[in-house]
Amino acid sequence: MVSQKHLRLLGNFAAATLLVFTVACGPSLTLTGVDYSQPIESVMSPDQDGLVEDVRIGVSFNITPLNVKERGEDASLPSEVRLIRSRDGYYFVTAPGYSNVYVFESEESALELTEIINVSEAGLAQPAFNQRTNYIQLIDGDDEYRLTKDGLAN
Amino acid sequence: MEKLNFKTVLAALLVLAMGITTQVHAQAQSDFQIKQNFDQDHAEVLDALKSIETTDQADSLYEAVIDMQERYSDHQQLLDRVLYPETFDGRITNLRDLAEVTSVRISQIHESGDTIVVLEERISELTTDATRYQEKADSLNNELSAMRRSRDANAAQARRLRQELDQRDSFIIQMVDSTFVAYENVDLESLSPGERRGLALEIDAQNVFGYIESVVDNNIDFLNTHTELSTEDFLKLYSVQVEFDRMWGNMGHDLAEIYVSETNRQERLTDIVEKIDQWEMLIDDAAWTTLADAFEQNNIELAPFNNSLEFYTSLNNYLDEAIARAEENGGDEELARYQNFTDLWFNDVKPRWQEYLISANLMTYDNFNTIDEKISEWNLYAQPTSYTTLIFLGLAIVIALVLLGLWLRERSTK
Repeated sequence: MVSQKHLRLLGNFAAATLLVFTVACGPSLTLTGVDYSQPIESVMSPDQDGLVEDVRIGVSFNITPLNVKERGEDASLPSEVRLIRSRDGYYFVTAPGYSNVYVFESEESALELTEIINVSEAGLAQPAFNQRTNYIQLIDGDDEYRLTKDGLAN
Repeated sequence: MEKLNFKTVLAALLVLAMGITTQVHAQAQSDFQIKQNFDQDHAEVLDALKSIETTDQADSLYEAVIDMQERYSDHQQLLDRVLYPETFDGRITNLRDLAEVTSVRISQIHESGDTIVVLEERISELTTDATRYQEKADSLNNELSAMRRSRDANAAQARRLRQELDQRDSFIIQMVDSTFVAYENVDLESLSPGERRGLALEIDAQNVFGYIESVVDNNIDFLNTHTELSTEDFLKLYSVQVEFDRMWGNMGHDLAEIYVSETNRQERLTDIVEKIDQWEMLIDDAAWTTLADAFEQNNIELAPFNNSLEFYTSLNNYLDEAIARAEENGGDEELARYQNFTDLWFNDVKPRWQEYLISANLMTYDNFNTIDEKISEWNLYAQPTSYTTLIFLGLAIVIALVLLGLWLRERSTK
């Protein structure tokens, strides 16, 4: 004869099994081989608060923390900010006068810095990003750099 | 902002083209800049299209589009992606089509312009003649006024005056007709509002519409003051009115569209239509009165008539009654009636009035044929029996009696 204790144990086991199946079925799907490459860079002018926006690709953020990191506190905002997203989904950001290109990873409502690529001690004059097959091309006058999320490529 | 003219835009396109070509050799390009340059070139071609005035400019712009296509062809893949959902080829094809259409449109406008120049020259010539006719008409009207005051006024003078006015009326109608034949070659829809306004003002200055109105006014004045004309003269005037009415019906509204400004167009149209109606009423009344008088003066008692149907019915009834009467009781009196009617019919109506009665749509050729047939029938019955017929009839009786006598004699001898 099945006692009250046995019934309780059976109920707990069924609930645990259901929970395992639910957790296993939910987030397990992954779409691979995604190409995030933005065909053409975004050239954005910061407003007085440092907000930049490209309505075409649907991205906006405040450049001020990055500008502080690049130029220090109380530094003026750049006239324009250049941004491009690579094939693997990393954002490359720089601006005229900057010495570095900042590489960000997309997070929930955030861009997390993953790499700082130093390209010019004197500062970039007229930087521009181009999307290329396996890298991001940065041109500045006659200078040309190949960038990946990990830094300068060979 | 000052609008760019065609030369400025074309020069800018060439400078850009040279700049880009130089840049290609000097350094790597920014894709963003390529897109910006392409957009700028595209916008400038569109701007240039708006200011093109000659086919040469259109052809140059078409060449500039071809050049633009060649300059950007290396970046087609990039542009296809950044122009999505449009494509590089789509944009270029669109520009080429626009340049071609503009070239054709300018060509058509120039052709229309040539026609308009010819038309304006013709109007100018016609206006000179019209002015001459107007001056003559004024002089004749003065003469007419003097004549009305004079006891010596006579129908011959009025007729001469009428003939002079007829020439002018005829000229005006022909002028309007020929002007509109020329206008048919002008596609007014293809002209810009400005060009159309300019043309309208040019022609309005020539006051063609004024001349048309003066034809109506003069005829009304004339009919109101002159009753001494012959039936033929009135019928002729009737045919002029019908011709004018036809012309007005065909092109009156088109004339007003071009010659009269929109603000008072409806008012002038209403005014002239009322005048034409008044003219028709006057000439209609005068024509039927003079026709009735003509028959009455020849002792032909037609039933009263006031329009073409009543006139034709009256003639038919008169002839039907005459035929019935002659058939029943012909004789000298009936023959005299017949002669009286045919004198008027064959001496006046057919040789002098028929043309105008038909051109004024008062009678048709069929109507005349019917009347002619009835006159022939009346003639048959109205003629008295001739002496020759009586002689032949007597001889036939004598021969018949002789033959009867011979036959009786033969029979008695048997």
